[in-house]
Amino acid sequence: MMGTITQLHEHDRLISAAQTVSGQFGVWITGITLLLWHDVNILMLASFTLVLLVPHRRRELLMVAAIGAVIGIFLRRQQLDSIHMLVSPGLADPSQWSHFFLQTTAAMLFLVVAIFAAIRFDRMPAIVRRLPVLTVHVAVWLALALSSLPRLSMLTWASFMAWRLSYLFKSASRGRCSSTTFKDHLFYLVPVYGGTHIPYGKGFDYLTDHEALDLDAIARSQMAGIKLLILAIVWTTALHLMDSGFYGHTSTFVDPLLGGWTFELPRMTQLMHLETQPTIPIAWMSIYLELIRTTLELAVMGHVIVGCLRLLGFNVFRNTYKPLLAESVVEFWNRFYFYFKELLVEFFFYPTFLRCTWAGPRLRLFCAVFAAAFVGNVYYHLLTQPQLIIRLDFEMLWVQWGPRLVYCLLLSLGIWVSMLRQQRQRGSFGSTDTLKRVRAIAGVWTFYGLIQVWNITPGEIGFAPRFEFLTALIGL
Amino acid sequence: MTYEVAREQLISFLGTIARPGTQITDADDDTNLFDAGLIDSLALVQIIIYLEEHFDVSLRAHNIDPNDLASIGGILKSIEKSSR
Repeated sequence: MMGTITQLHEHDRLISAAQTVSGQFGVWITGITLLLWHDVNILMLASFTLVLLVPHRRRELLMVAAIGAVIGIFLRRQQLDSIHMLVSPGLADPSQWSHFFLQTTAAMLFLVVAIFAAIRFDRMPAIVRRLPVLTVHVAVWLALALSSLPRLSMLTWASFMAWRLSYLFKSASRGRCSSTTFKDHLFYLVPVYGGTHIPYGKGFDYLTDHEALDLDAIARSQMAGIKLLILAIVWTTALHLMDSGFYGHTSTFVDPLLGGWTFELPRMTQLMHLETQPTIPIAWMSIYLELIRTTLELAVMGHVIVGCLRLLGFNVFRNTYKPLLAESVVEFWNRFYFYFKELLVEFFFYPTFLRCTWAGPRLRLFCAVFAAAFVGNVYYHLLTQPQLIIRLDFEMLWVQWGPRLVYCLLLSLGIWVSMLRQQRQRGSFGSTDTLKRVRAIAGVWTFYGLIQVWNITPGEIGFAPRFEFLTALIGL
Repeated sequence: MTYEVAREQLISFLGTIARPGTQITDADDDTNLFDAGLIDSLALVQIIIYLEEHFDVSLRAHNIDPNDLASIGGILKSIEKSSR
């Protein structure tokens, strides 16, 4: 039974059954129930239903849904403004609406121009063709700088769009966009299946390569999606159990099951705010629990988004794949946040690795890892808060992201060493000895547990409390 | 070097970086080695170094994307492209 659930998409009889009319109805009922449980937006629900009926019109349907999502942004803002007018009419500022309208419209026009530029990529100036990704980022920063009063609307779009357009221009530079049309691109640039600043499912190339085209592939994709959405419920329950059982949160739905029983341990951030140092066991326990909690949270979010993509017929990799069972630092990085890692690898790691042919193998690898895990990682986060750079507020930038620099540096070093070790053990990574495996996993947990001390709640906690917390781990 | 010889050498190399318990020989030329779980995506680094050292392939000079090296056929194509 358990095997059937974990291998839904490999179960041949189930896949065949899912292709019949009653099977498709079952897929729809199950999918909709799971999507509702995960509180997915109405456009995704409608898209799933229609894609199920006319799968070969998938891209057109998703394009219409994307346009609906953009209209929804305007309507939601108007609704908020109306509430604001009712609550405090004296404070309501009509210019805010026009500003929002202009900024969002500008962002959309930018998007449309970018799509057509990618389709007609061969007619672009030589500099654009030679440096497509850099062009996107220069354009994004120019657009931000030109916004007379950069407000949230444009700033939010900047980071969201920058990476999606980077994938688009990368596809274009490989000649894969010339025979495409507008509908082939809008659906992942404004994704109704959800997402963050990081493009889940990457871009055109990756989604096209993983698009299910025949009935069998569609059924497999849908089953894999259902599996992930079920898994997301399991991890949500585990997360709530953890919050109630370890941290004493009372607002979770599993709280009544535990009957109020809890360890009532403080979270790592709470420990950092304490004036007295925590005991060694509490400090160590908090780093491992924090790592597990972060992993579960990320898994739930990623499983829902990738689950939606799979239901729509894009059978892409899941975002989080058993990172807590990874036996090396680099393997954990690969499995923890797949689409973020892919973004760093595609736009920072490989471009650097391919350029640094002058360096010896170790230095070359170091440059590439450093470019991805340090430079790329820091740049990605800076782009999520460009207002600080536009205002040249370096003091606030340091407060916000200073500790993260330490995190990124340690992460780079850890990945580099791990990759060198993996290369030395070429062909024999992964031990069959259980004790060795447990030891390797514990080492990975400890590494990531320790470095996350420099990563949690950026902007709230400075260097000193983090350093003091680390000293508490060894009883100093 | 003929296509067959290059393929044979490549298969033999991929066997040394394949995940334990997997058989590269099971893959045909179009199989995506990463999607099939035969090799890790970071093993691509080793493939690039191998191509540079053994076939004098420069990905940058020939505008080859690392993603093009996901299958045996893709790798062989890049060898062919750079030898032109």
